[in-house]
Amino acid sequence: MRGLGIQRFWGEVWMELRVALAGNPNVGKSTIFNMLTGMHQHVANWPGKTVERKEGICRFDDHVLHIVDLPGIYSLTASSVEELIAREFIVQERPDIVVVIADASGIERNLYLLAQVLELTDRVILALNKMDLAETKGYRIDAHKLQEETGVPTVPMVARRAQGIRELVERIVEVANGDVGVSPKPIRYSGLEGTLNRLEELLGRQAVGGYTPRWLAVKLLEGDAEVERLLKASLNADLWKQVEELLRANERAPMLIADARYAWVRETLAQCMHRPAREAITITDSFDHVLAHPIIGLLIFIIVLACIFWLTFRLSEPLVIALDGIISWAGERLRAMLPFGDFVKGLIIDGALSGFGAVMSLLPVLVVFFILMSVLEDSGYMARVAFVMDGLMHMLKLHGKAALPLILAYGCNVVGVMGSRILESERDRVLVAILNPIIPCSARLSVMAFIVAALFPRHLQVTVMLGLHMINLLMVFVAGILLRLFAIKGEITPLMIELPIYSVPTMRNIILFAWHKVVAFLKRASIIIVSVSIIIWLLSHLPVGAPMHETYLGKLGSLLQPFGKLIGLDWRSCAALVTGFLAKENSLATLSVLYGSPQEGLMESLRKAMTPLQALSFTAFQMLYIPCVATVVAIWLETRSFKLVALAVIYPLVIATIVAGLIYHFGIWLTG
Amino acid sequence: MKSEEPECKRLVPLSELPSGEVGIVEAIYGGRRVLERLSSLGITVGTEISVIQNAFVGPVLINVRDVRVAIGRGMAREILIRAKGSR
Repeated sequence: MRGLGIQRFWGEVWMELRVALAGNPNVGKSTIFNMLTGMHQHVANWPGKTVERKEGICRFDDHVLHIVDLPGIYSLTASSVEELIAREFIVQERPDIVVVIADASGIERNLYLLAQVLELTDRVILALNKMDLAETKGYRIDAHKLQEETGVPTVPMVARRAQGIRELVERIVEVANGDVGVSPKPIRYSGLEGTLNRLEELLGRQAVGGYTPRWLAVKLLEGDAEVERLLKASLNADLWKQVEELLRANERAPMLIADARYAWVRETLAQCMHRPAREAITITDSFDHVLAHPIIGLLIFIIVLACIFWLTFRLSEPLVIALDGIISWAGERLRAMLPFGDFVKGLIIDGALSGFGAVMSLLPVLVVFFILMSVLEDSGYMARVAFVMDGLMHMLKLHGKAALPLILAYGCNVVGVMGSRILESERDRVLVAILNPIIPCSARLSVMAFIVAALFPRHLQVTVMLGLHMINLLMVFVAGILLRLFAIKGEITPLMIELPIYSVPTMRNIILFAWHKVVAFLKRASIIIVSVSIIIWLLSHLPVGAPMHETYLGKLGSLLQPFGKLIGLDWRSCAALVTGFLAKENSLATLSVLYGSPQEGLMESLRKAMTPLQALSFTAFQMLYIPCVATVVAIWLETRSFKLVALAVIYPLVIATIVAGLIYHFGIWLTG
Repeated sequence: MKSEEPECKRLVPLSELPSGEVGIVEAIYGGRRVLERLSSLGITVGTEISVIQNAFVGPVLINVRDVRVAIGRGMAREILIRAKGSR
């Protein structure tokens, strides 16, 4: 029995089991995972992928269960990253048990995955979750009978009420120990058996990549690109030719295979399930009447969006202010207490501590946002957003769900980037994350508003702000198209999603989700943001005692002068743009140091130092240029790719330069 | 349902099937990936579906194999349904 490790520690003896959880999205997989593992979990990404890998530990009697939560999938054909990850894990890492979690209220479609998993391994347990919902739909499912029919140990559950969790663990241990046998009912591909046998013969007896010849043959007929690649590499050219011929002769095979699996499911269910003659009208039906309505649903989404916006950025505001107060109070205390010179004090307080403060000010925003996001996702509402927004977002060549993170980006890019996680396809996710940086967040908006207020007469201010926003929207559109064309290629996937049954989210899921997200971000962000803060402070204070234009920051500004000329800015504005990398509102602080004089406020000084045209160019540039450090960290966390992070930094810079340059030179030409 | 009722021969794309109607999937036009994705969501040739909502803009919401699935309008034009009348 492979994988059954026995560990001895302090005289205790326990057995280690490796368990994988598989299932469709929205079957309550995370609920079961959270119930089993509690706080003993670890969240990372699958190596090289943007897909989350959740692992946890569950102790039961003398057993330790190492549980891996596989991504939510509908099938095991490698048509998405998630599916590939799931099946490679099952085959290559050979977990002792695979628990297939099915939603009893959608049992027929849900057992399709069971049929597929049984083709890969027979160490399977079926967890039949949401039995209560099945009942409200009027389904009567005999779990005992189902177990007899499928040959797979079956545990009926209502995970959100903790029903069946203990039974599931017991069953896992029993099956792993061999106390309970698994003898799955085989699937017959009636019309295809001859072809399958012939293919198996051609493939030979060897198991390529750990897969059985039978399974490889089925996947070949299904048109699985990954399996084709695998076999093309391992078979000799002559054999492969014969395989290809066989495949060409069976072009309808993918449909026949799916039919055979569904026939298997139907046959199984016929014996152990009773459906009502007329489907009961559920709460979900009534809700969807309103929430998925093409007009009312859209209006409700706008209201929900406004609420999220308000809650995320307003509810957290007092906390942000309070944290800010604590940090600056701590700074003052330190300044009074520390026995160092001004330089070291400045480095510690204005460099390190204020960087830490910048991280802390993001904390309340993120906590509130992640809680809301998990409520929306777990309740089933997020799928409705995709549904009602699909038509509109398609015009932007984006998935319906992309509306949410992109709009939230106007509050904070970090939130927008992390919100990209709600999208199913990796490509859509990356595109939304990368598109974020050119959406002006609230910090950038405040800088824009300040400068526009300083340089433009009152009656023009609104027009200028609106104009800038229009330019921005146009750029989001252009960037979206260009990125799709050149960087993140591929057809937009037509909308095909399941709308899950509405349910009340569980506290445990919400808290664990928010907790892991926030911790992951803080871990990365705090180090990087504090370092950048220290570096920028050093740049603006070294060499010691030098006047501002002779500090390294000043010199950097001068160095950027030729570039600044392109868009009509002097070295001071360039330096302000550099410090804006730490946090966008920093550019105002730098401007006030560089332009300000003790006698007058920044507004006055700006009015003397800049022409309205220069101000316009500056605002346009800072509205579009590179994302702040925190956003860069968030993009890295979501994409795990230096190339994509570099892209996200560079392309907004290019767009910003072009736009600001056009504005400046067009302005010069206009005013003659 | 009356047993002797003549079989209805009306073939329409899913995008044209009004809310409340029931039908059988007759054909699906699309590449292998689309077919695979649809069948993993429960939609195969010969499957009975019922339309929960079809507002003639935006995606079509259907009930298929015990679950509700949303299909983009463009995709829904490629799915041919033999209508069986309303529920």
